[in-house]
Amino acid sequence: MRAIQQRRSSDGTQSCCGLRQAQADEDKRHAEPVEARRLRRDRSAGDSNFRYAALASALSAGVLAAGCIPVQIQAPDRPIEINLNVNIRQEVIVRLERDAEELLQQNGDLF
Amino acid sequence: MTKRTSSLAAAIAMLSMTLAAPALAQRDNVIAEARAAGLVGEQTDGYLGFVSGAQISADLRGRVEQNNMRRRAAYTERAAAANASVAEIAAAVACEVFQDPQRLRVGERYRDDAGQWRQHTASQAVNVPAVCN
Repeated sequence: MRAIQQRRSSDGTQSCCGLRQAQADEDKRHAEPVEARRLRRDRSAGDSNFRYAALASALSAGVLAAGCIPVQIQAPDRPIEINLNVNIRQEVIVRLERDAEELLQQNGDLF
Repeated sequence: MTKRTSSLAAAIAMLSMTLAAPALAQRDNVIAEARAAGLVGEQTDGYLGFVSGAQISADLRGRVEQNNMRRRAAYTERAAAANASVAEIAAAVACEVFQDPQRLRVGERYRDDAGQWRQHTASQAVNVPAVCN
């Protein structure tokens, strides 16, 4: 019975203490000068920047190791395709030159 | 000997007549005049087109459309024989036409690759379609 009471009381004091602590923190924050608060924020921002930089470098290292080859292939892929199309077209026109000449001779009245 | 050469000459004359006859005899004068007047002109797709802004009579329109249909028939027939598409044959013919000053004469209008109507002048070379080069 005593033990229970004690525990209850300790619970109560703990929760009460926690509340009080939070209240105290709140008070302290309010009491804190604006300058100090900004300083603290800046420092935390710096920390997060550093974390992002580390993450980015790790990521880029991964990309460099794994993603380099497809990037290199993709860059010259497009112009080659276009050139091929043009070449095929020109080849076809060259191949059909004699046909075109004959057609013009046989249907000269249409041109 | 003389008889033989004369008969040979006659045969050659006959052959050249039959080859040249359709080209000279059936050419549509109305279309020829319209070309000279800059109402219609050759296009890079191998067909005749109406110059933008030109007043086209119903008669002329009908003649040009019939001419284009006959061209298409010739292209289609040739495409099947040459194992090519109709558009490819038409483009190949357009290359010949654009590079032949007898077919695309000075003063006539033509439509270039970009769809722009231009005039063939003595001082300026024809804008030949890019695929012809």
